[in-house]
Order: sequence, then C-alpha cells, then structure tokens
Amino acid sequence: MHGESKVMASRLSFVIIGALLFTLLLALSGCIRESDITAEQRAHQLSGELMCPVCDGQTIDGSNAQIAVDMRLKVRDLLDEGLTNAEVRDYFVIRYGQEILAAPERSGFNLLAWIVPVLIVLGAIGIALLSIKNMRKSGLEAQSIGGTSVAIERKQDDLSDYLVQVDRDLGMSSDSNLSLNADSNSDVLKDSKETGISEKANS
Amino acid sequence: MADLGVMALMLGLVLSAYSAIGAVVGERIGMAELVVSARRALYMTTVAAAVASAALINAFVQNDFSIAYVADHSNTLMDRAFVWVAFYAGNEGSLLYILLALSVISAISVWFAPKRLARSMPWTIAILAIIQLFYFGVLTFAASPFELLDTIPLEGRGINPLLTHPGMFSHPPLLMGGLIAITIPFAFASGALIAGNYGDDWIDVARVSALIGWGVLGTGMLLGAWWAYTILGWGGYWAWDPIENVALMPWLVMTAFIHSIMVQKRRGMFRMWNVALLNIAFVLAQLGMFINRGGPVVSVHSFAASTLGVIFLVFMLASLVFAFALFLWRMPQLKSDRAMESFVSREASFLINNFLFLSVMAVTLWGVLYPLFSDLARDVSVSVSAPYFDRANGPVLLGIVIMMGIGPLLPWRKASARSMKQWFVWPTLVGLVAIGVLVALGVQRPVAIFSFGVLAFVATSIAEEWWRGTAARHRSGDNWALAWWRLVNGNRPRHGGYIAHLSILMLALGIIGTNFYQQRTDGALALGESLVLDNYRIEYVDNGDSSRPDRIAQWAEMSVYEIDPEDYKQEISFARAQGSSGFTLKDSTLRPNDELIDTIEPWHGFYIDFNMASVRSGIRSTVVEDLYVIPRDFLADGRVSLAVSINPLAWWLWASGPFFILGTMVALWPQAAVERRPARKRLQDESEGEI
Amino acid sequence: MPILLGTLLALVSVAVIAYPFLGSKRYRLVSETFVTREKLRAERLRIYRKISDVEADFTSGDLTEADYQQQRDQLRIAAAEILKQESGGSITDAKRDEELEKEISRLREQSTSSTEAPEGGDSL
Repeated sequence: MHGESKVMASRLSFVIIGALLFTLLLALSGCIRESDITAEQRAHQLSGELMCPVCDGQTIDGSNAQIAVDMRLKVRDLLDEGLTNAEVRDYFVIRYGQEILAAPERSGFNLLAWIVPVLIVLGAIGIALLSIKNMRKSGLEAQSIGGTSVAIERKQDDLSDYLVQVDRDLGMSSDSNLSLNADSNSDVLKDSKETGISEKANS
Repeated sequence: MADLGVMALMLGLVLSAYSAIGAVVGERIGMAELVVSARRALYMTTVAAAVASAALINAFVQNDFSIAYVADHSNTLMDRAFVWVAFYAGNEGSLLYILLALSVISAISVWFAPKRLARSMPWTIAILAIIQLFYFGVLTFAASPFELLDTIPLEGRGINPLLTHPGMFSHPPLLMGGLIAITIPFAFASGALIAGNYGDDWIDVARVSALIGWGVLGTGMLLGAWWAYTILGWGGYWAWDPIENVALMPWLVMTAFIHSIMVQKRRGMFRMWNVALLNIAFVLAQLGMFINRGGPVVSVHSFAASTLGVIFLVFMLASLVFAFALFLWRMPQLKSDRAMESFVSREASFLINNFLFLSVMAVTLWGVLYPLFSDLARDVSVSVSAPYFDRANGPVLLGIVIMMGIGPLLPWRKASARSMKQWFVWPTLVGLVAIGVLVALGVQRPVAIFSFGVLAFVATSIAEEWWRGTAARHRSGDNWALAWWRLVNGNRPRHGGYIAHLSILMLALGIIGTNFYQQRTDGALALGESLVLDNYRIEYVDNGDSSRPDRIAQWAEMSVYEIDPEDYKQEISFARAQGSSGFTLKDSTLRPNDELIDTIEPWHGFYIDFNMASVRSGIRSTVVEDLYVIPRDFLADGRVSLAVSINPLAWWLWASGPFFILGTMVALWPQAAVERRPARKRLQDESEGEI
Repeated sequence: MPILLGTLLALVSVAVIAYPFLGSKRYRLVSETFVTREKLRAERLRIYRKISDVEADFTSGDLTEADYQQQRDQLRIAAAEILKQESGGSITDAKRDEELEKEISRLREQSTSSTEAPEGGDSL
C-alpha cells in the first residue's frame, strides 16, 4: 500500500508541475510571435523617452496634446530619414533642452543620476551581508558560553512541574519526556522525510 | 451646514489637543482620570471628524453651492452616486477624508489594544492625537472645506471628468487610507519605546495594523493602475510619476516590515530593524502627503495640488526628527534574543530581501528628487520619468522576485547541504526547462526570457512547499483537499504570504509581457475602413454622439476579426517596407479566414469647462493578450484617429488583484490560541485593568 | 439649526471627557503586577505559537529531526520558565496566586466593575 501511494504521489507531482508549465506556456504564447522592429515600433519606443513640453510629467507617447502629436510625427519622419535613435534624441535636446529627455543622459553631471542607484544597491547588499556576518559572530560567542546539554538537563529538572503544565496547555500527554517527546506523528514524519521529493526525482 | 462643519472641526482641534496633553500629563503625574479622559477625547475626535464629513457630504447632496468646495467639485448634472467621489475630489475634501480615516482607525486600534500595553497607551494616544491635531489645524486654518462664496452661483463647476469612473469610488479612498494607516503601527511602536516596553508586546498590534494598511494601499495602487489603463488613454498603467512613486515607497518599506516582523515573531530577532522600518515608512508617508499637497515636483496627478506645501514640509521634517531621535534614544535597548546562525537561513534571506526593498525605495526617492537636485546644484532642468525607473529599478525588482523563490525554501536558523539540494532541484529544473522551451519556440528578448524562467522557478518553489506539506499531512490520513487546508490553516501568516507571492508573480507576468512585447500602430479610419495589426483586423462600423451639456462626446463601434496573416501577405510586406507595424484597408470585404471575435466600443469625450479630454479605451482582453484601442480623436472629416496596441499578458495584471487581497486576508485572519487549557480566570482578568 | 447641532456636539464632548472626573467610578493606573502578568501570559502564548509553528515546519519537512527536538525543547523550557514566573516561584505558590486574584476581584468590586477599559483582550 505504501509503495502504491508513493507512485501515485510522484505521478501527481508530475501532473501538478506539468499543469503549471502548460499554463505558463499557454499564457506566454502572446509573446511568442516574432516581430521585426519596424520604424514604427522604434518611433513608439523613442516617443516614450521624450517628455511632452506642455503637459506635466507625460511623455509624448502618452499625451494627446497637439504638440505631442506633432512631435510623434517628427520622430517618425526623422527615423525614416535614417537618423539613429541617439541622433533623434539630440535633435530634440538641441531644440528643447535637457528637460525633453525622460531619463537623463549617461554622461557628464547626469552620470550621477545613474551611478547613485548602483551605489545604493551595492551598499544595501553590502550592509545586509555585513550585518549578517556580525550577527553570526556574536551568536557564535554566545553559543560557546551557555547552552550546554548539562545546563539544559538541569533546567529540565528544575522546571519539571511546569513542563508538565506546558505540555498540558499544548494538548499533549503530560508524561511525554523532553528528549523523548516522540508524539504519535513522529513515525509518520520520519517516513515523510525518507520519501521526500528528491528520492522521487531519482525513481 | 457649513457652520456645523466648521464647529465640528474646531471642536476636533480642541479635543485632539486636549487628548495629547491629557494623556502625557496624566501619565507623568499618575492621574488615572486624566488618562481615561484623554482616551475618551480621542474617541470624540472621531465623532467630530465624522460630523464634519457628514456636513460636507450633505452639502453635496443638497447642491449647496454657497460652499466654495461644493461649487468647485459638483453640479446639478452630476450623478448622485458621485457625491462620495466629489467628497474627496479636491484638496480640502481629501484632507478631511484622510482625517476621518485616521480618526476611525485610531479609535478602533486604541479600543482593541491589549491590556499588556496599558503602560505605553498614553504615549500611543498622544502620538495619534498630535497627528490628528495637525490635520484638524490644517482644515481649520489653512484649507477649510467649508469656505463660503460671496455670491452664490446657480450651478457648480462639476466633478473632474477623469474621476467619473467606477474605480474612483475605491482607488483614492484606499490609497489615502492605506497611507495614513501607517500611522497606527508607528504610534504603537513609538509608544512602547517611549514607555520602555522593549519586548515583543507591541508587535501583534503593529503587524496586524501594518498588514491592513499594506493590503489597503496595495489594492489602492492596483485599482489606480487599472483606472489609468481603462480611462487615461495613454495605453499604460504605471508611469513612475512622482505621485505614484510617493505611494509606492512607503508600500515597499511596509512590505519589508511585514516580512521582517515575522522574524521577530518567530525568532525574537531584528527588533531594532523593525522599529527603523516603521519609522522610515511613516516619514515616507509624510513625504507623500507633502509632495501631494504642492510639493516641488511635476506630476500628472494634480487633483490635490495646493499651496499647503510648506506646512506639510514642516510636519514631515518634524516627524523625521521625532522618529530619528526616538530611535537613537532607545536603540541600545532593542536587542535580539538570538543571533544569526547562518548566511543560508530564512532569517538571512529576509534581511537581504529587506535591503533590496529599501534599495528600490531609495533609488525611487533618488529619481524623484534628482530633478530638484540638478536644478539646485547647477541650474539645469532635467526630467526623470519611466525609462529611468525601468532601468534603475528593474534589475533589483527581479532580484526581489528571485529572493521570493529562495527565501521560503530556506529553513529557519540554518540549512544543511542535503536539504538544500533536495529543495532546489525541482524549482531550478522547471525554471531552466521554461527558459529552454521559450528559446526553442523562438521567443525574443533574453532579459524577458530569463525573467519568465525566474517566475517559473518561484511558482514551482511555492507549489513544492504546498506539495510537501500537503503530502506529509496526506500520509497521516487526511485526503488531499483537507490536508492542504490543514496546512494553510496551521500557519496562516505564512501561507497567506504564499498566496500573495502568487499574486506578485501574476503581476510580474503582466509587467514583463506588456513591457517587452507590446506592439503598437497608429491610424485613422473612416467608416467601413479597417486597421490591421498582427493577427487582428479592426473594422470601423458605426459611430454615434453621446454629448451632454458639459461635454462633447462620441463613441465608435468596431468589429474585431481574427485573421490569417497569409491572406494579407501583400499588404503586410508593403507595410513592412514602409516601416509600419500595421496598415489600413479601404474596402470592407472580408478575406476567407477572417473570423469575427468581438465588438468593442471606444469612447472619446471632451469636457468644455475643464478643457480636458477623457476616453474609454476599447479593450478585448484574453488570458494571452489584450487588444487595446485608444480613440485619440474624432476628426472633422468624419474619421477617427486610433492608437491600437497588443498588450501581451495584460490580463494577468488585474487577475493578480483578487489573489493579493485573498493572501492578505488569509495572513490577517486571527489564529486560534494554541493554549488548550480552559480559560477559567482569564476572562475575569481581561476586564480588570483600570484604564 | 446647524449652530444648535454644533453646540450640542460640543456639550456632549465635554460631558464625555469630563465624566471620568465627575462620575462615581474610581480609576487607578494599571498596577505593575497586572501589566507584568499580562505580559508574561502573552509571552507564553507567543511561545506556544512558536512551538506549534515549529511542529508544522517539522511536519512539512522544513526541519530535521534533531533541529526540531532542540528548538522544541528550548521553547518548552522557555515556556516553563515563564509559567514559573507567572505562578511566582514554585507550583505551591499557586495558592498565593489565587489569593492575589481574590484581592483583585475584591478591588474590582469596590470600583463597581467600572471599567473604562474595553473588552476585547488582545484580539488585535
């Protein structure tokens, strides 16, 4: 009976993971089509990188203002003339100033805008790892001082009356002993470890 | 009614001042009556705020245009259902709404506060009262919603047309409510610290109130995105606009908090860190209020813009100083019970995830402030918008998603090498297979493919967690459904968290799909003409006028056909040569494989008084992709100009919402007490405390 | 009319906040012992919760047998220590505990069960 349920269980896990993959792939079929990057696509992308000069905080791609419509057409014209993306951006920067770009250029003073995030992320990860290391070191020191098994056993004796009460509160039989508190689940649990997923992967 | 509102606000001002002073003085001199009285005053501020709100709503219902706020934000044409929206449609009303929300949740949380916090309650009450005092003060002296007009107009200006959308009934209230709700955990934590209660006594209240605020704020943001997607007509849902960012930043910090509070609950660690997170979240919420109310940055959202900037700036700085000073003062007492044992443990992964959240927050803050910085430092104006944030935050957000798969697989304390291998085999395998399949199918964009692999990895890790726990319970006799239910019930915070993680995966699926694979084309159609994009053909079949006195509005009816690109080979190659993604067809004859799949009705309106256009995009949504048609304009020659896009996976953005709410609710649902001893004396003790 | 309503509201507010000073009820600040006991009890319940979490983790296979035993024993000892503190030293001191509770209920009756404090316990 045991072997049977094991087989069933492993089959079920295949079914579950298969279903998961299938759903994902089904959903992803929307992304599958190949699309060459047309000039129109490029124009849209560029429009998303240029701010609309008269509307607060919108790109020309998103705005319906007349100037945004004109600028979108201009972007397309410039691309059709064979300009590169960078040249189109420059075209607008010359006319409207730095402010027209939705993201600052990666040069000169504006490099700061891009370097700071990198520093922030690296710094954050560094601080996290360092503090884990520190917390670990202090932990190892503390461990060497207390927590010996003798101390625990002595505590058990002191507290035996209260431990009985604790077990009663937790709804366990009051005669269960500390290191022997193998309650009824325990066999099953050990079993669950043996038949864990890794083994099934092999079978 | 204006008089009643003004009186209620003034009364609230006095009551909250009294409450703050009474609580502190009563505690210092040990006068119980004064503390009780101060607590009651805090309850009465709720009544005062409610009366003021009722007075304003009543004025809207009665079209009382003698009140400037009512005349500015409604008219007799307005659908009565929108009275609720009009209530918070402007600066003054939204402040009153925020105050109402704050006073209600303050009263509830103080009322239900556990007895063991009795010593810190006076301080908590005082902090809540001071924050209410600030809002009552602003509403009384600087931005009264009950300002009267000298000459009473016959008709009001009407409600902002962009707000007349079902999403507006819930998006702004949830967003503002969620932001102000951060005050509650902050007040409880600060109160406990002032009173010298350094243990874990406050964390249950803080966790529950933080989780509620977090869920509400998250839902509010998602609804806002949905609103933008359907009504704003720019084809997107999140623009990294400053106003959006200032709501996102506290949410990110709260996300970090609701994770790391679990470590304190389970392991007694991160005490100092959790207090710091609450402080940061609270100050960021105040920053949000400041930027909302006339801050120095440019934004599309200008509903609440006002000249209150300076007042809110001062309040934000004051809360910054307070939070920082309190933290420094009490920091030495906030010790962890236990030490970190390993880099490879759940607590370590939580800490790393926390810092990743904080770095997204900090990068976003940097992006919001950089234009200001550039202006001040060198007098050059720059813009920082979506392209910047996508670039700067994208990789870290992906890192967070990766941690979302790794963290829950790691055990507390430390992982042994054997169990590590056992746990990571399946998720890694599935992730790699997903990437392999996508590559084999010819999907483009390496970054997106990798991200999809990450999503598969995380989804499998959650499935594996549930699978393992359920299987273990199944072996001890439960059937599968019951076993899973028992598993979730056994530790609701954790499994509610997994449900929320699933919703984040769905959201990520939508974000990746729409960002990397969107296709767009523009065109103008006369009746009978069609526009073809990819495998859709959209035919313009009918139109009509739905103007009303306040607007010029038109709708178009369009048939959506699914086509076989083979039928259109010639046109497609011609369009490609022109550099276009789509093309228009003059004749309306159908090709052999055209199949009618849907009819959509995009709508375009122009509101004369507001000089503002509003649209309803025509959307055909499926699990795979959205066909999204924005009516840009109805032209004078009878044509309609359209922006058409295909947004892959957009459906998943909105599908994530219910799972997000469900996960939050499961995590919030109170767990039954573990103690199985009859609660004999306990019940009597509960009612004992004298305050 | 609005003025009247406003005045009424103000009067009600004054009555509500003045009541603790004028009413026949007596209030004291919560005693240190009471707060301490509440805290100990809450702490113990939190440990019970941790024990049940550890058990759930073990059942799901998140913990090795040895880790599970060790963590569980530590938590049980911690809970027992708190129980010991709660009962004031030894199990025979439970009598003293009962006397204390009697004393409390006597005091409570004196104050005519006048509690501003809400029911509801630590449900939040």
